[in-house]
Amino acid sequence: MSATTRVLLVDDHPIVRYGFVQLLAMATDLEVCGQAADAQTTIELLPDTRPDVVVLDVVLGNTNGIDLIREIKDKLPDATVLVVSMHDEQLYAERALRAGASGYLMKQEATET
Amino acid sequence: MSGRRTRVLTFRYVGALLAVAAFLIAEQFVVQAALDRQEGDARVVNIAGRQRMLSQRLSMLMLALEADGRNDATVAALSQVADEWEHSHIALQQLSNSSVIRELFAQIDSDHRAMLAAARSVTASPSVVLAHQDAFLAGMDRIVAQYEREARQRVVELRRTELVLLLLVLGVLGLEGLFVFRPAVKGLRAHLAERDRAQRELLTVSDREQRRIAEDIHDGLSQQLVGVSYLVKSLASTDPRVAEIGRLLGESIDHTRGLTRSLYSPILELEGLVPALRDLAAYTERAFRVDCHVHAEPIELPMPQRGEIYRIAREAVINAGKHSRATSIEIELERSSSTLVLTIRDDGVGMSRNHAGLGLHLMESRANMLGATLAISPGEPRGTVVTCTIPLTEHQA
Repeated sequence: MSATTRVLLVDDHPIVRYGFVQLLAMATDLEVCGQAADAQTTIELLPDTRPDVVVLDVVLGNTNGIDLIREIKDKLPDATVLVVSMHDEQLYAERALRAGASGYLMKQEATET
Repeated sequence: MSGRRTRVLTFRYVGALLAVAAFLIAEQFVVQAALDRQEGDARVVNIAGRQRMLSQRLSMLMLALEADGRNDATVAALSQVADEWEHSHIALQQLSNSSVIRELFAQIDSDHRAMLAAARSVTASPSVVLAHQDAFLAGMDRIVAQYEREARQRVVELRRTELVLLLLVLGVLGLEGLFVFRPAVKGLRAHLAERDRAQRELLTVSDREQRRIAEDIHDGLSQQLVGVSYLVKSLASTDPRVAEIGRLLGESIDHTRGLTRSLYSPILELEGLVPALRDLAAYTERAFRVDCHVHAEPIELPMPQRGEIYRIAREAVINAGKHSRATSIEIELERSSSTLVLTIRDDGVGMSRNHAGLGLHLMESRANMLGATLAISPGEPRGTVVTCTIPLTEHQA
């Protein structure tokens, strides 16, 4: 892993991505290497951006984020996938972790950790 | 039912009632007239019989007169009997007699005249009276018998008339059943089915719309608030107002989450009824600052049924949280062999049906859709208990 951790942001809401970028910019050891609003763009970005961490929402418009987690882990087994979602942990956390995610955070709690 | 159809049925119904009333009145007239006639018949038969007796008394008095000589008392008695006998004979003939009776009276007229003339003449021999008496008595017997025959005939006719009137009334009632009640019941059934269908559609549309609004808030406003809260956090400002903005944004996010949760529960669809009720309890505790607990074993129910039960519970719980000033709300789901009983119990100020309003109406409509019964009763020692008893199918039980 390089000195800075490369983060790929995946969320279908531009305002959330923008806020995240600003938030992550505060940390010197984090670098946002790319942004995507859907699963297809995420997969396309993976070879070029080679992220260390992928932060994604489990619901991306009409696509299923759980399947995307599997695909990311399949293509980049070393990447850490972190789910940040508005949906209840009760609904998706277990499935996300089983699919290969390393953590599940509620969006409103993300800034407190 | 259309206005025209209702008018037609009303017209037929009123018509049938008037016909029944007319037949009953007619029956009363017929019966009263028959009773009057019956009374008259009895009197006539009695007088006719008495005439027979008077004719015999007339003979006896004349024989007594002949045997005892002129006796004033006997003469006076003979005169009185003769008067009475004559008056009664005339009175009987003046009645509205049948032609048969008139003919029978004509046959004994000569005997009557001869006997009366002999009785009036003090000097006449009793043999004149005795000579005509047998013919007169036989004639009177025939007249009495004819009177009785005619009276019996009238009773038979009365029975027949009564029977006809009864059949007419029954016929009208039958027609009323066929052309008023049957279409009315059919119309009522169709109307109730249409109302139930409209109610189901309304609830389905309302649920769909609530889900759409919840998703819009979740995907729009909530995400905006989260994005803005990240931006505020990224300011890393020491200004206390910035921290206050961050706190207010956090509250707003919680509030919008609560709002979407109250409108639509994705947990219900994905996890089932009991997890959704537990989530509802958690939301209720945060939103209304009350203790809210669920006592239930997991149960598998199909989605439409599960959705309606959840929404009944949600309505009752939110109603208790909002209006009852309760400190504790209990949600119970108990399954027996044939029913599932949902109970929401609070310790608040109680709920009157008047104040329950639309919420209660919606709960009742949903219960109706489930074929369930909904009961609202005061709690012990206070508060409200909402009980919904849902029948389970054989497969579910």
